[in-house]
Amino acid sequence: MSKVDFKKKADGIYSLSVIGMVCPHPQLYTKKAMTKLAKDDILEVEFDNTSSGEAIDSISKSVGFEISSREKSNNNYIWKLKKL
Amino acid sequence: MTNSLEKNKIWAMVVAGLLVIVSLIYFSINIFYIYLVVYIWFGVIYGMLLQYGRFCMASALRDLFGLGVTRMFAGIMLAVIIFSIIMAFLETIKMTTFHTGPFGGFRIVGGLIFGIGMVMSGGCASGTLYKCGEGNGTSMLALTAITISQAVFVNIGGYFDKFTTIYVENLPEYSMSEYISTAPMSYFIGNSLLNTIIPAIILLIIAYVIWGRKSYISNTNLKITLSEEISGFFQMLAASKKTVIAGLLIGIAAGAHVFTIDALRRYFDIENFGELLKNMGYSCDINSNGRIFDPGYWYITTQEAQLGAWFLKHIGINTTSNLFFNGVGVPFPLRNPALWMSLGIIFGASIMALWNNEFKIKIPKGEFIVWGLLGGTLMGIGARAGMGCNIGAFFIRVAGGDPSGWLFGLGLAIGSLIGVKFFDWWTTRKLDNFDDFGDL
Repeated sequence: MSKVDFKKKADGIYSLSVIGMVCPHPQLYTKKAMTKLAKDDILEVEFDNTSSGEAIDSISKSVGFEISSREKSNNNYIWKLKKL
Repeated sequence: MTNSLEKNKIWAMVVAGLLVIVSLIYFSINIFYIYLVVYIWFGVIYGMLLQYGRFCMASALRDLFGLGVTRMFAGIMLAVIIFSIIMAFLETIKMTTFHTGPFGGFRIVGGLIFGIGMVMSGGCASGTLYKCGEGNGTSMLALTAITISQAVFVNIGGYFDKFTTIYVENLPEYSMSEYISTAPMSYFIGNSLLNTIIPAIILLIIAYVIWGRKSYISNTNLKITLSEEISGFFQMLAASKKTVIAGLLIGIAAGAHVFTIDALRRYFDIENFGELLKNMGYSCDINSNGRIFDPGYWYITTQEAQLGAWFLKHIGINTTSNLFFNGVGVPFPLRNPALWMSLGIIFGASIMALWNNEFKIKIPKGEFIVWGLLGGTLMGIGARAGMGCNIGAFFIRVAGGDPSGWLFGLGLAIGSLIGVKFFDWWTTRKLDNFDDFGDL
């Protein structure tokens, strides 16, 4: 459940699952995963730690990512972050 | 999703309804319990606001140092500024329960240990409570560890007694208002302006220059005018609407709490809830001076230590024969007003999380069990060694004009930095196997 799962789904699309993790792990892994992406790549982050969302939001702004969609299902958040 | 949202809103109302029933039961037993019920509902208000604003000292320092995120740090500084202005007003009209505390290096050491612990467990003392209310199992482990570790720590080998009598009791206490002779403004200038607002603004400027600036100024290579810098600074402060709203309201609630408890003490003509307990025939709950721990303001960890000691005593482990528990007492948990404040925070956070469909039971697994227990234990030890947590030793002290709060804050910052470095190393180590984009 608390396993970090970072995969390349397709060309330019990556997924990071940090379900079950609590602060600060989801935001730390997200920031580190962001460094692996090139311009226009998309990172789909799946997390269920509400407070990490605020940090991911701020990091995205500061390192040049745009949050292109925010979904929520069964208390899991799936955010798509696009590298600008 | 709509169904689960509706269902969760009903659950939020159920929790709130149960708290109303609990309050009514207390009233029906004895009107003196209004004192305890006030603590419950201030706890509920704190819990709702903490959850709404994701308010957490661990997040403030950790995300600042580790990720360059200024949001929460700005929120905490804003809350402490607002609270200090209200406290100065309450001091001026002599409606306050605040007392200064000893000023010494132990605050830095305690803050440092606490700071490492809060980063490790993922939440400070107040953050841990609100996260418990969200269903976060790691925080529940941390809370258990805070509770037990404090009770054990103050009882080991009599060292804590010696620390108290030989060292802490001989330390000076300061209030910045004493250095300002221009009454009636001494509290506003000394406590609020000098001890809180100016240091908080300096820290915010430092946070802006080091971390916030690059997020709010689009191109830092070009020459930037002063007005652009000022605009960037205010954008940093207002970056998260939720945080700003929660910060303002927490400051106001903490002030209203001090005022209300002081008014109740005047109404009942008491200085401490122990007097009411004695009046109700519960002499077993109070210490030899007829008192129990009754801070009169927002506090977190001491009541958790009391719960730990009470629990351990009932399973045959006595940790109460020491100066700490002689002072604060070990009352029956349901008659402990401060403990009800902590429970109120958990329930208040649950109400808010359920209402916004953010409640989720998360069972900790693997390394998170270790982080929760270890972090909680460090927070428990740090809270006793520093005589308080991020609320009682930092937030309340700073806003009350007591410079010892900043010493604890300095310790928190150093401890957080150590915790952040540790987790940075830990997560990078896990990421080393990760360059091929396989599993971590």
